[in-house]
Amino acid sequence: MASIEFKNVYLEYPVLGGDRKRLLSKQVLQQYLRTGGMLEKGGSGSAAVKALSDVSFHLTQGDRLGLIGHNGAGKSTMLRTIAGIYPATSGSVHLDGVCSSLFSMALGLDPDATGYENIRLMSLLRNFDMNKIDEIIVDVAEFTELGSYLDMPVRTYSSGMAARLSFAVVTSQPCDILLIDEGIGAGDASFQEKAQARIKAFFSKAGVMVIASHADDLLNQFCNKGMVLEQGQVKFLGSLDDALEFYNSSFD
Amino acid sequence: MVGGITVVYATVFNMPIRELLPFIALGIMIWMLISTTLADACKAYVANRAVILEMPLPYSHYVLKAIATNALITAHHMVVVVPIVLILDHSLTWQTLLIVPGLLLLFANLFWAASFLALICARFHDITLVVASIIQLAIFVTPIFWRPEMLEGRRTFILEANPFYHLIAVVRQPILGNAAPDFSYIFLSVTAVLGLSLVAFLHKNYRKRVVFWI
Repeated sequence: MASIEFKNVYLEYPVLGGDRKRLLSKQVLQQYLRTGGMLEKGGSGSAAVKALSDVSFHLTQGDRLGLIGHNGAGKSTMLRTIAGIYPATSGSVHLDGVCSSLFSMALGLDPDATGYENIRLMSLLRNFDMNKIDEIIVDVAEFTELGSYLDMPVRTYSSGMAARLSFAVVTSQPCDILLIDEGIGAGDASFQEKAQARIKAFFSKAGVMVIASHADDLLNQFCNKGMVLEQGQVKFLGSLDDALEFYNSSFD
Repeated sequence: MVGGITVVYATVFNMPIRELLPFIALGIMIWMLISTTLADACKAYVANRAVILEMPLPYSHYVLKAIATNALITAHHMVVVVPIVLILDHSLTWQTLLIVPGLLLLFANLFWAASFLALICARFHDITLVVASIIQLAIFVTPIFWRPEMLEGRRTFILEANPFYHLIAVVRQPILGNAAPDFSYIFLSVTAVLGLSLVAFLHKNYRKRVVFWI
């Protein structure tokens, strides 16, 4: 059973290379920024961004969570913290199940390798079961309809063909915990009905899914829970409809 | 290129080409492995930013990838260099077997140095340029184009304090049919142990921050 549990998670990170004096000046610190995490003085006296603060939640099998918030409210940070890419400064993050992230689909695509080689490369990078590689190759070849192009280097592909290939590989194996950042995973709406059907099937096989998105349609279609983030804090967590209502009403 | 260099240096130092060519060819081959690995290591984390921000792979993956890439390139160089050595210098001896500990010491030291540079260069991006300058200059103070014997016992610290000399010697000398100086083996064993401990310590304390530095 897949699950994600956050207990009082805080995430703070240092800002390197910014103008430290200016970043820490009173004007900037006191400014109430609606976008972005809170800037504050970090442990070693350097500027730090408080990207998540006191986040607690528990998702279990079947949960489909939509992350809602302004740009820089902490949606992508939350996804990366779930994925284990950002280590929590304090608090505990516990995951049951293998986590798969779809932040940039084209990751691992080597333009000089052929289509077939790229299917192997991307499967290796994503830690797919290599005993099933033949199945994956057949499935991807069938879905992408790239035919003999799969024997040619990916640099000869149009951008649409390359997108098809990476999309097909990434969605070829079901996963326990699926993390999606908008505009990449399902956002590729130009992918016609066939892709839509594949996405739906892929999503439905995931144990737990978290999507960060601004698109209400996407959230309505796939999510049953919603979380509203603002400045790294959870402002609302509940059913998706309530969360969207809360978010939209906060504009007024 | 190696041939051209050899003709020039053999003439300058008044040495037989037959003797100098394998020495220089091997020296350059090993030097290129060391220098390009260290140069790539500086960019190991920064250049793989996209992957690091996408999935939590162990950081040693990126360092080992840099080393493996350059080891493969060296394997290609060997296709040219090894026949040259074998044709000009038929000196396969029991000491040739010392190539095994030699390579072990070379890669153990390359691993910690590469991990160290990857971490430091992620925190301070400018160090990459410093390392590039050091590598460029180090080739002149290291016996690659000249033989260590040419110092004739004068200022031997030039050799003893130079880690690049030891790294090259432990691989080059066995292939030429003799052993590297005992001091080289001791020096590299000590740096390997100290270096690996240093990297383990740094890694333990700073691993979690790397993702915010790149």
